[in-house]
Amino acid sequence: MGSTVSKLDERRSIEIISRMIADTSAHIDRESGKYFLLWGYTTVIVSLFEYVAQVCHLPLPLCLWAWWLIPLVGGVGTLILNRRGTTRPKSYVDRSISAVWMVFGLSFGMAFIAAMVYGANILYLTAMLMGMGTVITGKICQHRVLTIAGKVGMILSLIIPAWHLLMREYGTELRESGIEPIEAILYVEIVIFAAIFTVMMVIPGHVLYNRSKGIKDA
Amino acid sequence: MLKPLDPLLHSELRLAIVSILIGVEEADFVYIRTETGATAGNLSVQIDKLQKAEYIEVEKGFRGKMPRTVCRITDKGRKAFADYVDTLRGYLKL
Repeated sequence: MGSTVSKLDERRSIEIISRMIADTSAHIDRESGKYFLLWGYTTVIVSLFEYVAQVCHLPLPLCLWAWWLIPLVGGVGTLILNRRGTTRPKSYVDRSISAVWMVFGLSFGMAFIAAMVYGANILYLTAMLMGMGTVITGKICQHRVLTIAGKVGMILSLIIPAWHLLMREYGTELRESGIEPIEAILYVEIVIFAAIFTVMMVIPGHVLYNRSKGIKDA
Repeated sequence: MLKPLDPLLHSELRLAIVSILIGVEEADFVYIRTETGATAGNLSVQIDKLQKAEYIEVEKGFRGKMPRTVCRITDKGRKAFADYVDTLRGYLKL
């Protein structure tokens, strides 16, 4: 296109329209992919660290405080991505997705309070809420991969309270059976949580990012 | 007899600008320049023409200390683009 203001034929017009629309849409997809990768990888890495920390009996304050790395790294990373992306186009889809995640962020806050006050299962609630957010995001930007990943995440999240119940029921027997370290079994729900986020955010994040890159390079 | 194509849109760079803006709420000058591969000077001239025709609106401001120009398509521009695409369909018998 360069510096020319040339007249064009009709077919070239269609080509320009299609390419510009596809490139802009790909650009938006790639940016969305980055947010999923950021939050997905942060959650998976911190969760796995938590699991190892519990199994290896690391000091309790370290185990408890490490969870805060998820909102800290995710929040700071989001701010950096937003700042870097100041030149990217803003679409109506962007605005809707931001609103959705703002509501789910707020819901997570409520779930966290419920966990602190009433002992609700925060891992289950988090996986369920984030799954719902992913499904809605997929519906808004019409990405089947996100919709499916979110639904799978929501279904898998049910394993967490099931495991929790199972351990409450048979935990004592397991402890008495002499298996060492027993925490490796008791805290498997954290590994399930990490696996859910891999399915729900990391994989679709890579798919979105790579697909949009493919469109752009074509 | 086919309608003539809108001369304001029937130019490579101006059509590209409007095609970018049609799918988004707003786009930054730097983004449009990168996507179209146009020079800043030429892009400014074409944006100015589209703005004078009220096809787009331009907002100049700052983000931090950096100057920032944001473009948005207007209702008139949206209608002109829809008419342009309809006319094109007629030419290409789509």
